[in-house]
Amino acid sequence: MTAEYEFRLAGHIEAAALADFDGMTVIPGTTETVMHGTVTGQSAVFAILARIHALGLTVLELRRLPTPVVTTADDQAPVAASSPAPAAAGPPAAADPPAAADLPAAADGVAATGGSPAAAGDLPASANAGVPPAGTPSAGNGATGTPSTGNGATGAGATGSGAAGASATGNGAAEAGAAGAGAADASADGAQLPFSVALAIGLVGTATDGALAGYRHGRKAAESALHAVTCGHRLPGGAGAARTLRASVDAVADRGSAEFTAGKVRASSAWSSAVTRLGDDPELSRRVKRIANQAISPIMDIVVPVVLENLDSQQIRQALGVQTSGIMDEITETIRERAAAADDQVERFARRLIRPRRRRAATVEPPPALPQDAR
Amino acid sequence: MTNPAAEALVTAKAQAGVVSRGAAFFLDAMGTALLVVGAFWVIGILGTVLQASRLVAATHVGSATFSIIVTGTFLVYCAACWRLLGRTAGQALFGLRVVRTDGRALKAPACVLRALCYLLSVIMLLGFVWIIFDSRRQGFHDKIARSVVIYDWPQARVPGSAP
Repeated sequence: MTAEYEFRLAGHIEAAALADFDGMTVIPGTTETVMHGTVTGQSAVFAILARIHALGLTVLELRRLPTPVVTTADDQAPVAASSPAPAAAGPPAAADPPAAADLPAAADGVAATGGSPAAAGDLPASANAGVPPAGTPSAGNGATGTPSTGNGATGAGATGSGAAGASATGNGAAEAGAAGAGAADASADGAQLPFSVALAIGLVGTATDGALAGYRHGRKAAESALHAVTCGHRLPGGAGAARTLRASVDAVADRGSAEFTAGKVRASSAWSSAVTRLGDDPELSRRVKRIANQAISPIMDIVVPVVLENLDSQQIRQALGVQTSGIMDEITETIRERAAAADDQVERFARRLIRPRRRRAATVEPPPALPQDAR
Repeated sequence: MTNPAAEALVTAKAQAGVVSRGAAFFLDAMGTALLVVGAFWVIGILGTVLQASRLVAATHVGSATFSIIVTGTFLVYCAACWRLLGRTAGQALFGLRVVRTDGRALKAPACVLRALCYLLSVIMLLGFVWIIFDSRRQGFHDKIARSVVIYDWPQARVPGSAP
């Protein structure tokens, strides 16, 4: 079934950006862009919607034109924006129950395919108000005059595409939506597809597309890793790559160890320098002592009473006695040792005074003559 | 009758020299003099407190009398200490002990004789100088009383060891 359709898109879009839509005429406007052309079958309509969604565009209105009339975007925008409101506001449920029963299905499908709140909000109204029923000469309110058969075909196709789009994301969603629309279109001319069948077709298409995308990404990642190992390291086998990797890790570890050692040396020298400076600077030493005293005094005030409480007087006396006795013993022993050493020195000195006399006396007397046989 | 073990002990223990013994003697003499002065001071205070004019008058003695009192006190002190402890306070400080030549402790007569012989050794100090040249480091009083003074403390040197 061939018909003329008009897609009203949000924003100013150059014609070159929509050149992929074959057979469609693009009329860019300041706030809206109108694209119209002949489309064969409902599935093709939804395929176009999916592609629009894939491009990130917002569909403001979709109309089926009864006659090939070209309208400008700026002229039609207020009409399109104003006319759907009263139509969507009330009439369907009250005036035509069959049409009202069909509309929710169509509204759901388009909302999911559009993917944006604006499209979701506008499209059902536009579809309901602006799309005249095929073969219906209703001139007043399109919604009220829509036959149930015409909307039923549209609703079925929209539902299949919308279900697929609802479970997909990004480009895969657009393609899956197109696939679902195509599946629905296969039997759109003869008979309507059941909702469950269209949903299943859309889900299968989406899942397949996702799996293919995942496979492509995984293969690219594997190829990159293989390239890094074999070509990046210039080694033929995995063992060589392992050795290279180990050498690299060892080099990093060695460098880290060297830096650690150098850091220790620098820290040690800095500490020595700080200590030297502390010892050389009297002002700094005085401050450090004052701070130490301020810190130690409270500690002593707390610790000493506790220690004295835990020690009884006998233990204190014993400890003091042992310490005093040790000190006295050391002093006494030192005195005794020095006195004994002095005893020896005095005696050596006195004997040294006496010995020269004996030597002089020995030199005066001639030595006794040795017997002849003793020589 | 000699005790071989005691003689071995005396032989093993080095005899004390003149410096140690002179220092001990000086300390003992000074201690005795201070003791006598302190005694006179206490007696004078007691006489003043008790208003005993005789006690106060007793403390006012001449130098000769004071020297005699101090010397007598010193000799009694030494004899008593040698007999009871084998050493005086000064000798205890320097680790000395007075024993007989056979190593045994002095008896009371020997202690008194040795103390009295101090008076002989004091003359021109010859009795003490003789300690320097004597092979057994004996003064006149030691020769007469047949005694020796030895080092007697745990870490005392033995003969032949390095001084």
